[in-house]
Amino acid sequence: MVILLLACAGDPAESRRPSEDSGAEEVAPAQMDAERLLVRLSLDLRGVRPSPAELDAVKADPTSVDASIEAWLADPAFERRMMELWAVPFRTRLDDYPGGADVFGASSEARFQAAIGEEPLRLIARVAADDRPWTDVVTADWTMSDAVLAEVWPVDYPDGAEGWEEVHYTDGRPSAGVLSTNGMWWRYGSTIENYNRGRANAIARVLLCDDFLHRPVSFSRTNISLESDSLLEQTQTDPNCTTCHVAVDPLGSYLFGFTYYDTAFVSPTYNFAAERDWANGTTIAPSYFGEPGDGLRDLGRQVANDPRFVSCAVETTWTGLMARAAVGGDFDTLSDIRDDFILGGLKMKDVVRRVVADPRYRAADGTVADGAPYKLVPVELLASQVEALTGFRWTFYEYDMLGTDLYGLRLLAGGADGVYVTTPATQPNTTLLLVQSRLAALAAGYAVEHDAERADPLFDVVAPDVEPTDEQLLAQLRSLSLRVLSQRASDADVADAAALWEAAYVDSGSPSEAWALALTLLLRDPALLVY
Amino acid sequence: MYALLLACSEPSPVDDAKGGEDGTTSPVDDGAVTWEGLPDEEPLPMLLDADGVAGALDEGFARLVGMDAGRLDENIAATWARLDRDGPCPEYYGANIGSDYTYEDWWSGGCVDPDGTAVDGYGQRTTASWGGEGSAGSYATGYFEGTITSPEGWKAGGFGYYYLEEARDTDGQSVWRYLIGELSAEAADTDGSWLERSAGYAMSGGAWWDRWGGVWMAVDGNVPLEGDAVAFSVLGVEAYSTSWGYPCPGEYAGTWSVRDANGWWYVVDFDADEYETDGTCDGCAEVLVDGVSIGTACPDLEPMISMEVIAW
Repeated sequence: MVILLLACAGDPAESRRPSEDSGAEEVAPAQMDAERLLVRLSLDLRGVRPSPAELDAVKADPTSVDASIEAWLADPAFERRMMELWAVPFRTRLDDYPGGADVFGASSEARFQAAIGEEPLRLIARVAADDRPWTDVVTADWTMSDAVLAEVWPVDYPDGAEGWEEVHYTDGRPSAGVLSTNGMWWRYGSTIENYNRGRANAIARVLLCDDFLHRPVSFSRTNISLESDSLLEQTQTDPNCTTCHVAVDPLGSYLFGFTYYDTAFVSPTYNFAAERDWANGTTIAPSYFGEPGDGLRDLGRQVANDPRFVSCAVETTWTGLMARAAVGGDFDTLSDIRDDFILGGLKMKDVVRRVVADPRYRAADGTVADGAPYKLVPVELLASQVEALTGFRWTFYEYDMLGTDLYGLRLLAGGADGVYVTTPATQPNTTLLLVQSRLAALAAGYAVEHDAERADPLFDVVAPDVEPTDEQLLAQLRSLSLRVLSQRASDADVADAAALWEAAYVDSGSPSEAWALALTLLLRDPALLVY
Repeated sequence: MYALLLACSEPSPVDDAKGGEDGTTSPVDDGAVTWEGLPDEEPLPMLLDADGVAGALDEGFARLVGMDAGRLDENIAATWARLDRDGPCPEYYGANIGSDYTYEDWWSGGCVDPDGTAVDGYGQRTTASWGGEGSAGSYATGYFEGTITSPEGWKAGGFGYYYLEEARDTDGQSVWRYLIGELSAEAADTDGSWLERSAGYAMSGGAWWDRWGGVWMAVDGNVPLEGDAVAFSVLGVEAYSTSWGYPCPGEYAGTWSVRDANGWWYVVDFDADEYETDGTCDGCAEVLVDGVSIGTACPDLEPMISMEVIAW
């Protein structure tokens, strides 16, 4: 029996309840139990599954979930999760940026390619993780760089450092957070005669949630001249064109400092001299939706001052954590979260707290209107949870197999490359299962071989190369199920797994191989993909 | 049995809305909270006065039109000279085409020369010459798009085209020269990291010179500078000989701009083309920052107008 008391006015589920007069039995919106919720929170906030001890603790005291949320918001892994969440709208994680390491003098092609697109995402993630005001995203005078990126970018990366560090561009470019980063504008380039319009739309889409391409336009193609000068004139005079171009073109005029003359059309160095090339292009001076400005610094402040920037941050976080677009019933909640976001000084963690506390985030099943009871793990979470469990990260030379497409399997695993596929899969598909299967086998073999080297061995009952007693076998299988799938296996499930283990042992004569098989099957379980 | 109590949502934010301490938020009557943006910020100071702008105009224009005397060309020439034209990279051929006097060089590459020079892109250059009693001449035209990286790490990449025609007398002295073209390039030299001096050049335009004093020049483009003034840009700059009727020997027409290190652009509109109506052909013009005058700049344009600084 489930007793649910919901007495809050405006609750989205309320409108779906049958009226008292209807005589129908009320269906109570169900919320996740504490253990299941803990799994979702752990994956969303730190990219790994909760430990058995954490599951035990929340089982004993369900209210301890709140303490876990706070702890995980402070966990260094939260920063990476924020990066991965914002990677979806930014679409910067390509693995075939032009030029390449050999042209620009970077020591590693794979690391250079990965770092380019991560630069703006790391900046955003640092702002979120450090509870800095969200406006820093577009006003900060610093960016993020790792050692490889610093071999190419003109930044003051500290001597001897290795990982991602806060740095400053040394070429004197204006400070505007992500709007000043090479990573952003290497990703979003512009042809000579597009005058940065695509870049302008990237700003509107990513930071304002106002994609110009979603605006309704209607015009006759027969009235459009493709002659360059005439086309430019039409964009500025035809009412059907000006719907977008009146805002897009002057927004693009801020970005001519990222005009590159190399044939690769990218350069690590900001091009001050080209800032006023708009005068020779559209001839439209920079302005932000009608407000004149001068340079990137102005643009950053104008974006920061735009109410849409604040609302978009909330909506993007909601969308990322709910794994679905915001729908009509969400917007009252988003408005409330946005208000608190503002009153709290624009701290992103406040938004995350509100989203993960929402009944729709915690929905156990379909009884919660617009709930998200089952989410497919994004490829980043598939990789990070398997790595945390087994110590295995699938790489090919230095390429992350689940983070790239040129050599890797990101798209097949349901990821987005940001160009051909712009949103991650939300439903399982065949190729994802194939990738999971291969990943499971590789990771299990690695885990068995390297378990003794780990501080927190996966095989905590019996070493994998030792023949277990019957009791050890059952206990170890039970432990692995809890560790890998966050599930308390039933006696029947454990017995089935033990029989399989025995068969594999008889067949191979090796306890290690039998454990590798058992672990592979756990890592192939659909429960690893849905949370 | 599961007993689930979902507490009502927290009190509405407007219940205790107090506005941010920095004054950037405030409750409004309808209960929503308004984002009022960042506090005002003092703008960065301007680094140049009108005289500084005038000096930067001189330097910028000299650099823009004199770039082929600079390190860019030296490095390209030196790198090109090292290329193994008989080797596999770049693919290269030269041939007489059309007549004995027309020659074409063509290259294309995406590989590394045995000496370590990397060539990526393609280029083409056609030259022709003619001669006869009383006159001789030549023209050269070319196009390139590519990147050359020397073994030392020096790199130049860009794209452009040019057409250069020249007539000479029987003594080999120039009678007239005509050049039009467009060049955009990133380049960096070998002093320290190649990033230290990387820069973007862009220019398009043309020039005419003849031995009877006829000159014409038109240019759009920009070039980086160093110091307080970090960039120079021109748009629609044009001048020609007074003997051809140019009304203003002390000025060029067009918009000239200089950017300082703090981001301020100083815009100077020379009004040479208005000389005949308002008589302001004095070589001076107002310096505008965001449309507001900060003084008058009178750069020394004479060397430019006489093309003394032009290396073409």
